[in-house]
Amino acid sequence: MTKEERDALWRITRTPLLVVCALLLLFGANLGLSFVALGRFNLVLNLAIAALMIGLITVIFMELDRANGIQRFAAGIGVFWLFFLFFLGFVDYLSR
Amino acid sequence: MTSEALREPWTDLGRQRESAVFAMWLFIGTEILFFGGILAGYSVYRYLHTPAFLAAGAETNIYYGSANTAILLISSFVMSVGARAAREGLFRFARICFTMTAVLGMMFLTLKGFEYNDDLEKNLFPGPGFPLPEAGASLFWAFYWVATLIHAIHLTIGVGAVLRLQILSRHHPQWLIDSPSAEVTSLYWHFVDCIWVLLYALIYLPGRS
Repeated sequence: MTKEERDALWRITRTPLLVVCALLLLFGANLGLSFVALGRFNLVLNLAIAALMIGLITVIFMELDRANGIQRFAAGIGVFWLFFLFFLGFVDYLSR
Repeated sequence: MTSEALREPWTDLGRQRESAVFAMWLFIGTEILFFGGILAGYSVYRYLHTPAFLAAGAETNIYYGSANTAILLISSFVMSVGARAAREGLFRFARICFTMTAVLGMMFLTLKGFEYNDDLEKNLFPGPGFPLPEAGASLFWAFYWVATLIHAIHLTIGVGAVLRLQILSRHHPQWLIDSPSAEVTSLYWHFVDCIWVLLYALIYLPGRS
């Protein structure tokens, strides 16, 4: 392997390596926190950490940070309609 | 010179790549709504039967679930590096990453098989002989089976897609840089990982405290 290849390898590996370390730490935190009695905040924290992990995966691993506008728009559209699915699904229960 | 990876109606590889990635994100949008329907059902039932869902969640096998989460997170890292390596022209390294990704995916499926066997031995399948007395616990386990099986099917397709990259680039490594396949397969793989991260929080973590 040439020096250029080694440099290129380090350049492409560095950020994903940092991200996977963060993901494994967040996963450990999520697992550990689930054993602490926090009432309904267990669910809130578990989902918040899961959302953070999904955010890291989509932005760095799925490279949304370097995607163009139309690709970002397509990525957001599923989440946009998901919001309505949950909002309309829960509007009855939450408004009682 | 026209690359073999170029398909109609595109006239250049760059536009083809942009379109393929765009199309994959649209497909992922439909998948979000597909899993979203299942998750919305889970959420409503969990709201209605909270104690039963917590009791049922505590019966899932946290060891298998956690090991599989770590495996998928590492596989996503390897896949991400593989796709970047393919783009940089580091074909040998990219192909090693794809092999590792497929192996990690198969490890996940193998562990899932052991976990299913464990669950079935405990009769944790909704129907006659279901051991949990709480009303709503069987709903949780119905969700468990449906969601994890659908996820496993997705992952199996992912393993096939990654192996496809291996096979098609075997004699023509340049194909990895011309074709958008590596990038698109990578998007799919990470999406399946995202779904698991959410399922892990909803299936394995409730009722532990």
